[in-house]
This record gives sequence, structure tokens and C-alpha cells, in this order.
Amino acid sequence: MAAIPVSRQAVQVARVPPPPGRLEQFERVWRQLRRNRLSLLGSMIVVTLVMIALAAPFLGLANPVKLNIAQRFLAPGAGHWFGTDQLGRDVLSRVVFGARVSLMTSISTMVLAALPGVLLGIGAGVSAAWLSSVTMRLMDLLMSFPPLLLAVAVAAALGTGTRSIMIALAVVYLPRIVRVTRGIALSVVAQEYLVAAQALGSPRWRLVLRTVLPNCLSVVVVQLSLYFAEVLLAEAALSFLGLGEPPPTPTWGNILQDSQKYIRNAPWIAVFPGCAIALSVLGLNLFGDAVRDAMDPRLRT
Amino acid sequence: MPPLLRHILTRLVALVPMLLALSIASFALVHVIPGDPALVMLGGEGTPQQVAELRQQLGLNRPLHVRYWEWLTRVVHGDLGESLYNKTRVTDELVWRFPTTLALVGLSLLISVGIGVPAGLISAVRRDTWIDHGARLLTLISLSMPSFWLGLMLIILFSLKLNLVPIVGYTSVVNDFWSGLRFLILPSCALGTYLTALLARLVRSSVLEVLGHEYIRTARAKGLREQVVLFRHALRNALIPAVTVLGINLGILLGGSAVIETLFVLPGVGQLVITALYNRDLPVIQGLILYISVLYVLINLAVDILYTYLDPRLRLG
Repeated sequence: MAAIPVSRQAVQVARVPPPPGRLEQFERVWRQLRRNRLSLLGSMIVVTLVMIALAAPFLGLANPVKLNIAQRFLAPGAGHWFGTDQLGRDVLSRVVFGARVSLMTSISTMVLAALPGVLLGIGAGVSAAWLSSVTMRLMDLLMSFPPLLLAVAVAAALGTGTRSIMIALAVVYLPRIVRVTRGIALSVVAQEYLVAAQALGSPRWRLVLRTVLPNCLSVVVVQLSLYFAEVLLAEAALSFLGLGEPPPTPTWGNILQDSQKYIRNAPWIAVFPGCAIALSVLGLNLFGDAVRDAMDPRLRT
Repeated sequence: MPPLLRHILTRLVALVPMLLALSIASFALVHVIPGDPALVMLGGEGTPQQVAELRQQLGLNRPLHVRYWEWLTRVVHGDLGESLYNKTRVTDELVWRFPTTLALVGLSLLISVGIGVPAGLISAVRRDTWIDHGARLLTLISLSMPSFWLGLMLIILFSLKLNLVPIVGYTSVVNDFWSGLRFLILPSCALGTYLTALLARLVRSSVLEVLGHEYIRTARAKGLREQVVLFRHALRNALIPAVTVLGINLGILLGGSAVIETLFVLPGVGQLVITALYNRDLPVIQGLILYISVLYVLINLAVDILYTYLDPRLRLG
């Protein structure tokens, strides 16, 4: 296998900003960020979407699962901004409530993949050569399956449902996170201030906890925000295939799955959930790219 | 021994444990999952007698390593197992479904390279003009859309509203190449858009990086025409990272083809994976996962060798 991380973001994060003086660094990043309106726009999109999802029950929306056959296939208009679906349910309300499931699944997936992933990655970066090598070969093995197929395989073994989507996607992203984190940890370990601290006799665990970990985290978090965007897309694809939460509970993916049959007469059922997915992924990408560029001016394009 | 040849041989040797590990992982998928595989395949609803029969048929009563060895022997001989659902052999299914998937992925790749590389190059050359800004905006949007949703939108626009492209009545590209290809245009666009944007973005940044190098200044100082500088000196060097990214992302295309084939009802390998998943047809899933991941590993190996060939620095290192 080519020893190069899989995604476009990973390709560019192999290097790490000059670390010490973290407060100083934070200020520099913050200044850069404020200047960059795109990152602001990105984070605003993400925050707004999360808030709408959280506040969904209090927004006075129609019940997303209540049937109303008399009002089926209504085109978008004053009463129903996004129209109604084949069972007369309000599409706007289904998209908003779908955000809760889709975002929640993606966030849980990221936690499930990132906690062990970051620990393993830092572990592999600072541990003995053979241990690091064993870990990385295992991760290589996981990465030699095409991503979506690995997720499908795991879902086949575990059965469908939100839980298996989360586990499946966590298995897909774990090796990617481990690989990126290890790369970052390795370059932090090679820094002179770390060699100096070691020479002064700081115990190893303390170096790892107080120096390596915090210096890695800032870079890792940016990478995670970009992976989050990918997870969101993958979650939508899996639930579009019918592997996720079963109906009537709406998710962005399963609304789109339902909408397929009616695209001839009611295309609006398909249009809006996709816009919601694209908008949130766009927000995360804008945010992640901008923060990455701000943290390392050398990478700016 | 020439370094390139030695490099290829080393990679081939390293392939052996990788393939073994892949086969163990695919085998484990069915046989080490929690619970009784026979019960899982029957959807947890079989009578005890049905379960016993299926266990017998799958050979579940014998030790694990014996079963693995038998399975591996059959796989090496080209027998990937048999569907529980309709008794067809996985290998036969692959033979007639593969051309469709190959054509779909190939066409997507062609679109990605054909549009992504020139777009990236133009964006870099016309840096910070409205062309560049427009291209980057389009890239960002393309990277944010789910491929299957884009597919749905393309169907609505080009098939239902404008009536330009047919969506029902696909005949395999093997039987009638040009007719089959017409049905693959929309799916390929939907599948290829993400990679197109990825390439455009990558080519843009790597051309910009290359253009900053001294040898470009030297080439210009020599009085070479700008086109020669761009194509022979800049683009050629800038394409090296693009080749890697392309190889790695073939996995995304292979996986994505499953979703796109399901959406467009194309009888490809990916659709078979998803159908098998709905039917809990574990032997089929197992065979296909092994087949596709071996393919993926081989493609990556080929890309790696190509990469070493393109970049002489790696040969010496």
C-alpha cells in the first residue's frame, strides 16, 4: 500500500505548525480566522443547523410522522414551505427532525472513532517501533477495504439500524484517524523542545500527556471536522440504502430513499433533504479548510 | 537488478501477507460474527430444523481452520461461493455484472480527469480572477453534495423534465455498447462529480506550488514559450500527486458505484452487494467483499508502481 492517507485533507496535514507558546499560536490562528470570512460563514452554518436540530420540538412545526392523506403531495407553498410527501406529512418538519437523527448519528460516530483513534495514533507515534508497526499494519488492513463496502460488510454482520451504521462508519474512520494522528505525533516528537524536555529528565508519560497530546490536538481537531463532513455524507448514503433508522422516523437518507418513487410528480420531497445535507457538509468543509489554512500558512492555497 | 524492478518485486512479496489477511478478514465476517450465522441468515426466524440444515450446508459443524482452508482453496480455484437466496454462483454473477460496473467507474474516471485536470490548471494559471473564484466555488459545492442526491436531481432534470436521457431499459454494455453507454451518462456524472472536484482542487494547488519553483523561472528565462513551460514543466510535475489521489479514491468510486447502481437500477457488482445485503445473503457478500478488496489492493499496487515510474526521485530513495 502507498503510505499516504486516504483523503484529500489528510494528504495536506502531514506537517505541524511550529508549536511552543500555545497561547501565542492560538492568538495568531484567531487573527487569521477573523480575517477569513469563509470560516465564519462555515461555522455559522454549522452552529445554526445544530441549533435548529436541537430546538426542533419547540419550533411549532407539524408532527413529522403524523399522516394526513387528504393533504398528500402538496407542492411547496404558504402552508407547507417544503410541501408534503406521499402520506401528507410536512417535508420541512421531516427535514428538521431528520437533522436530529442524522447529525446525532454522525456525531456519535465521530466520538466512537476519534476517542480510540487519537489515543492509538498518539500511542503508535510515541511507542516502541515494533508496537507502532503492528498497530499500523492492522490499520492498513482495515484501510484496504473500499470505505463504503467495509461499512456495508459491518452492517451485514450486525443487522440494520442506527447502532450498526455508527459502528460500521467508526470502523471505516478509525484507521484514518489513527494514521493522521500518528503522523502528527511523530512530527511533534521530533521537535527540539521535546528532545530538550527529555534530556532534562521529564518522565515519558508526562511528556506524552502534557506536551505531545495538547500539541497534536489542535491539528487533529481540524482534521476531525473534515472527517465529520465525510461521515455525514456516508451516513446519508447508508441510510439512503435503507441500512439506518427504519421509517417512520425521518433521517435525511431515508426521506431521500422514500422520495425516489415519487420524483416524477413530487420532486420537492427529494430536493430539500439533499440541500440540507449539502449545506451542512459545505459548512463543515468551509470551517475545516479555513482553520487548517489559518493554522499553517504554508498550506494555504 | 534495476531499482524499479526491485521495487516492484518487493511490493509483490509484501502483497502476499496482505492478501492472506484480507481473506481471513472476509472469512471472519461470516464465521466469527456474534451469534449463529445460520440463525442470522434466516433472519432469526427459522425452525430448529431449518437452522440445522443450513448449518450442515454451510459446514458450520466443523472446526474453524478446516472451514477456512476449504473456503480458501475454492476461492483460489475461482469459486467464490453460492447464493443462499437463488443458488446462483457468485463467480457467474460477477462475470456478467462486472462490465457494467467497469464501464460506470471508467466513464466516471474519464469525466473526472477530463474536467478536473484542465479546471485545476486554468484555475491556477488565472489565479484570483473570477474564473478561479467561480471554479473554486463550484468545487466546494461539488464536494458537499451526496452523489446519490445529485443523481436524483439529474434524473429529475434531464430525464423527467427535459426528456434527454432514458432511465429505464438498460441493456448491458456487452450486448450493445453505445446504447448501454447512453444509460451510463447520468450515473457517471453523479458518481464522478466528487472526484472531479477533488482533482480540480488538488491540481490547482500543486500547479501553484510547482510554478513557484526555480526551474520554472529557469525555463521561462531560457525563453521557452509559456505553453511549453505550463504543460511540459509545470503540469507534468503537478500531476504526480494527482495520480496517487486518483488511485486511492478509486475505492470511493467502487463503493459509490454500489449506491449509484442501486439508484439507477443498473445490474452491476455494487447493486449485487446491496441486494445480497437486503437478503442477508452472507456467502455472496463474503465473496464480493473479498473480490472487490483484492481488486482495490491490486489497483493501489499498480498506482504505486506507476508513481515510482513517474517520479524518479522515489526510485533512488
